Amino acid sequence: MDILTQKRITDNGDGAGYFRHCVNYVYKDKLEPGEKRILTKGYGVCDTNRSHTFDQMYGVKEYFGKTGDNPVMHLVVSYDKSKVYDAITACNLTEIIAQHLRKNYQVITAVHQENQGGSLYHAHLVVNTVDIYTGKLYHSGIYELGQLAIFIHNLTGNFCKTEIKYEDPKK
Amino acid sequence: MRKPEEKKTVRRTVLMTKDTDNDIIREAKERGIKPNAVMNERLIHHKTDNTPSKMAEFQDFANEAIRMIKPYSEKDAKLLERKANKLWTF
Repeated sequence: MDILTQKRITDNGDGAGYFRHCVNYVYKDKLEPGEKRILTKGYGVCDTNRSHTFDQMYGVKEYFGKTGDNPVMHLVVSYDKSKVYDAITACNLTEIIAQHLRKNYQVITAVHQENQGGSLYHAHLVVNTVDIYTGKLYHSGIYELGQLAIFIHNLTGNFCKTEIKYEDPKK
Repeated sequence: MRKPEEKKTVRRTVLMTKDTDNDIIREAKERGIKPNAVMNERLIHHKTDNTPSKMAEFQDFANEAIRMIKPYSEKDAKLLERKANKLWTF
């Protein structure tokens, strides 16, 4: 079973704090113990310099005057280890998911290797919520998450469970 | 209802040719947005031809070029990265 998690942590100042945090995270080499970064790749956005990535995503927001809303969508796809047990497969699947989102949004992805029990590889997809063609905001509801899960299910052949993670109130 | 002085927008009548009007309506239809949004975009960003969709496409090419050049010259890859980012102006 694959797991698609949407992290909903937007209450961080004006949201820009978490936005910057997400961009920095996909570039990070030293993650949790036992976790390793395999690949960082950008779609419609620079993927070699975190500062450029942030500026290019923010530039699109400014163009459409959408700087104050939910700035970023952070999705995590954990691949089932029975089907995805090597880095190349994980990267290829992540590429297809990112290309699907790239049709309308800027995306930067990071594939990580970490044994989470049922999964050996997972991918972070940081998506700019502003549509590059229309300027409309991505509606990150249950329905949209479900549609993406169906896309992943069709891609991997595994059932894709959806989860929404909210910020830990104790933090 | 908001008082006129509290409103964030103003209403102004603009005269234009039928062709311009048709073009705005066509673009709005194509992009799935309101003609009002097309008009505002054209007014605000009249100084540049760059649009987010064009720049995103350009950046995909730049990323590919940087990936290709990086194994041969880290310095040239950095230069390309910087030059590509400089073009992100709206």
